[in-house]
Amino acid sequence: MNATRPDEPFDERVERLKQELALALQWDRPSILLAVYSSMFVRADAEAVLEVWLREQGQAVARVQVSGPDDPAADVPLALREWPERAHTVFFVSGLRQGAPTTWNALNVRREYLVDGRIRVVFWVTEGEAAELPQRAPDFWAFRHRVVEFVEPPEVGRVAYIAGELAWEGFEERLSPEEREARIAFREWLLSELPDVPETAAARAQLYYTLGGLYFFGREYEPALRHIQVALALSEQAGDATLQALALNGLGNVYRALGRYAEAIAAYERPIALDPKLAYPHNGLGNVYSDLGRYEEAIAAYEWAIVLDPKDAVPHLGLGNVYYQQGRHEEAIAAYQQAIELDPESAASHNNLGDRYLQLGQLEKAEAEFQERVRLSPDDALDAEVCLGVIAYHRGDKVTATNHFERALAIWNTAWQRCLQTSAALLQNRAQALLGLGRSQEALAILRQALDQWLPGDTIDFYVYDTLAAASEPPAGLEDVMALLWEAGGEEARRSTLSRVGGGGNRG
Amino acid sequence: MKFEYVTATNLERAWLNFELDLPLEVEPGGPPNPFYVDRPGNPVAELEQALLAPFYRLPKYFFSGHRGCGKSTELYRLAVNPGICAKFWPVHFRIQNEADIHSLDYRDVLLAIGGQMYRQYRAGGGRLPKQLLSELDRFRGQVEKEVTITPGRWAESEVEAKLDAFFAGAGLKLKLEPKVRTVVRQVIEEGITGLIELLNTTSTTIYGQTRRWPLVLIDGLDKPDLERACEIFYDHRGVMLQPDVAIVYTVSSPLFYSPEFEAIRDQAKFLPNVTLHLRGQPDERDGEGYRMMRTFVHKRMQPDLIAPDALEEAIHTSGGVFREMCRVMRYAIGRARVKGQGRVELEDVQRAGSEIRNEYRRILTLEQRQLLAEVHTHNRLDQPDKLGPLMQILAALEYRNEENWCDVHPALVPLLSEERVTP
Repeated sequence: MNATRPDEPFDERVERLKQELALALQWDRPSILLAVYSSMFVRADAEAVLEVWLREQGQAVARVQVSGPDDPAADVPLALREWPERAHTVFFVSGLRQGAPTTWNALNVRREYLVDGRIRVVFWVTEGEAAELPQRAPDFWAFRHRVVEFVEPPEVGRVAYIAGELAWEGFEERLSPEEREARIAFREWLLSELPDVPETAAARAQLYYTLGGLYFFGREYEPALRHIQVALALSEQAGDATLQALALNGLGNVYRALGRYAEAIAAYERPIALDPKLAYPHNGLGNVYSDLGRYEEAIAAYEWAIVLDPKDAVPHLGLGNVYYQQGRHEEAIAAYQQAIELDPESAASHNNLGDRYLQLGQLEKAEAEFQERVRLSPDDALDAEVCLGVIAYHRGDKVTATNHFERALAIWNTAWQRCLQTSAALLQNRAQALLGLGRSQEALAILRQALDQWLPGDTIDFYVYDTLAAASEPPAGLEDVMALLWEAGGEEARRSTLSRVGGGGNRG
Repeated sequence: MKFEYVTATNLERAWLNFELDLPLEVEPGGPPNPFYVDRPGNPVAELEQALLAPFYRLPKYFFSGHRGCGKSTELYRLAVNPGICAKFWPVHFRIQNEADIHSLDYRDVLLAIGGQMYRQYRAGGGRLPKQLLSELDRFRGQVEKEVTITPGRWAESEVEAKLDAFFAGAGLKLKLEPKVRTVVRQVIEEGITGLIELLNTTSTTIYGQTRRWPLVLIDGLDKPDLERACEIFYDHRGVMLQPDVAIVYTVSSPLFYSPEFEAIRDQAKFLPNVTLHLRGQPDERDGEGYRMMRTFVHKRMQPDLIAPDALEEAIHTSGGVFREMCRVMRYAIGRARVKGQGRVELEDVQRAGSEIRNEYRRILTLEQRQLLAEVHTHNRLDQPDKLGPLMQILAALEYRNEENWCDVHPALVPLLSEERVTP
């Protein structure tokens, strides 16, 4: 599929899956559906809609994730046939490539189990798996009942925040869209001028790699993947091991942004195997493990990156984020400070350090860090503006507070487009600014939106609300907001995470 | 819930009737399956005639065809064909129910033939003589010296019960337990002559009691990959042709076209796709082919459920492959239902064609597209090494009139002129 945005609306495509399943349920027949996806986030959206509907039909959903060729689930038809409640279950199967070659062989020769067992299953396959399936399991593929594509990139703001990736060294992630497009156009033109001969392989590899980065920062993940893959192939052809490693690292970054963590880990591990002295893939691994909540592995990965490249600030930033998630605030602060020492221009480090000080009630230190964050990149310093507003409000300086909150609302769109935080975190910032401006009903509505878009790892900034609550005259409607948040996060969560909350990643 | 083969009067039911792998079952001596469409010059008629012809040695045939062309359906029919049943005692089964196709080996096939002859004959009320039971039991004993297959404890006199349990359990254990597989293969290897002799004796016994020779029809043998299929049918073809049992083996089209198959090709029958146009004349419709495909649809749903132009488009898009016809109809019915229509319109079929095209878009490489473009131009069946994989996935379809030729799956033709994005 060339188009990254299918011409058929998302809802209609989900409807096609529903319809196939509805008829299969009505007639008690098997259903073998393939759903091709590119982004885990889009897949999660489709799964969620489908699951709600299936439950309404009295069906349970069983997710079967194949983890390896020796996993019993790798023989998918056999595993599903043995499932105790299969008559009232619709299966969501994924991980076919991880289970190769067992999965391919089993699907090819045991498709009848699915048919004879009247099993209803949706195979969630990546674009690569979809392309491989007909070759590796032709008999299975020949009997596919329906294929529905969900290959569009996730909506703006659904992707993981990208600051601190060390994705493309030297790249400017904050390029304006116009500048990025101009750079892309220029490089595409250069490519078109280069003849496809061995002598140009190295140059073309570089161009493809750069283009991959430009697309990545524009959140155009499908062309990003495509370009990096070509860069990888060409760099192999040209014998350029350095670029090969960079391209693999870039692949890892794209997969991570798409939520395809297993593929991201595999991509990061390859350059490590090529050259164990490379630091940046360790940082990438740290990011993925951190996303997955595997904090000890994340810390180990970041520490490796630091050992291998002690002058790089980025893994310190990642380390700070993980310590913060673990509630190790002093260590988090030390890590951020180290990151700033190595790179005083790191906006994310200043922002995250400011957040930690605010959380600990050290308002002056927090204010200094947020001000530095604003100075470094004023047009997207959303979280810093909100926090500066909160600090001013706490002190009773409502004029300054109002200025910061209004400034936050003014730059909100830019921050959203640049995707420096998750959707929920960005929306929460907006709600906080509205609350500070006394627009509590709007704040409540936005917060509800934030809660709807909650992702694993998103957290509630209770410390921000606590700071507002401690003001001599707390903003009107704060109690309603807190009630909504406690309902969502729970009082217990509030107590236990009073200093854990705030969003695990970099805060712009 | 037993499937009822009734013509659909609404689109919901029509969706059901176009299930892609709906077996067209037939009862012995019963009428033809209501959904079955006979094809003029059906090669199965040739196979039927060949089986009914007098023979010195019990016939062995290889039955091939591309995916979705109706091989399984024809085997079902053959198994209940009155002429065949008058002369033979049909033993029809799918190999995947008897052995692990992942690692299928000629010994597994031979054991499956023996096991199925025994079980189906017993299930039909047949009784085997004591001596044969004793010899079969000795074979069971050789296997069970090493591994246990028969559950429970049996008295010495319960030979039949023991053998019933042994043959019932053998298939399952062979499929699921590698250790059992290894041991059984070793036992067979060491006594291959003995096993063949047992097959022959069982076959002759059945003939003696029924005056009909066992005719083993094995479906699913087209599943193993080419290498494994060659190992069974080329490396061990002597053994596979040896038993005194009439056998029809299904084989894959890649094996059928492989050089290794040359020696036995005269014993092979190939079931082609339905021809919808003449070679080199894509706009010249083959009236007979279209009539057959129309009948295929009308047996499954009433004619007023699809607009006439939509039906013609659906037939064209199917490329004359029955399973693809089912796919086109299902996709189009789905489209029509979403729009709340009571019948399938031309646009629904066109969208179904687009869906199929999208499925192939990510699969075909630039080189394959170029090859398909050539095939579409000249309709020649050359470059088998490159065309083979495309035929496997039905991107290229083979036809036979006076000669063999091929064309591109009609749904894919627009793909051939598309600009492909830089990989």
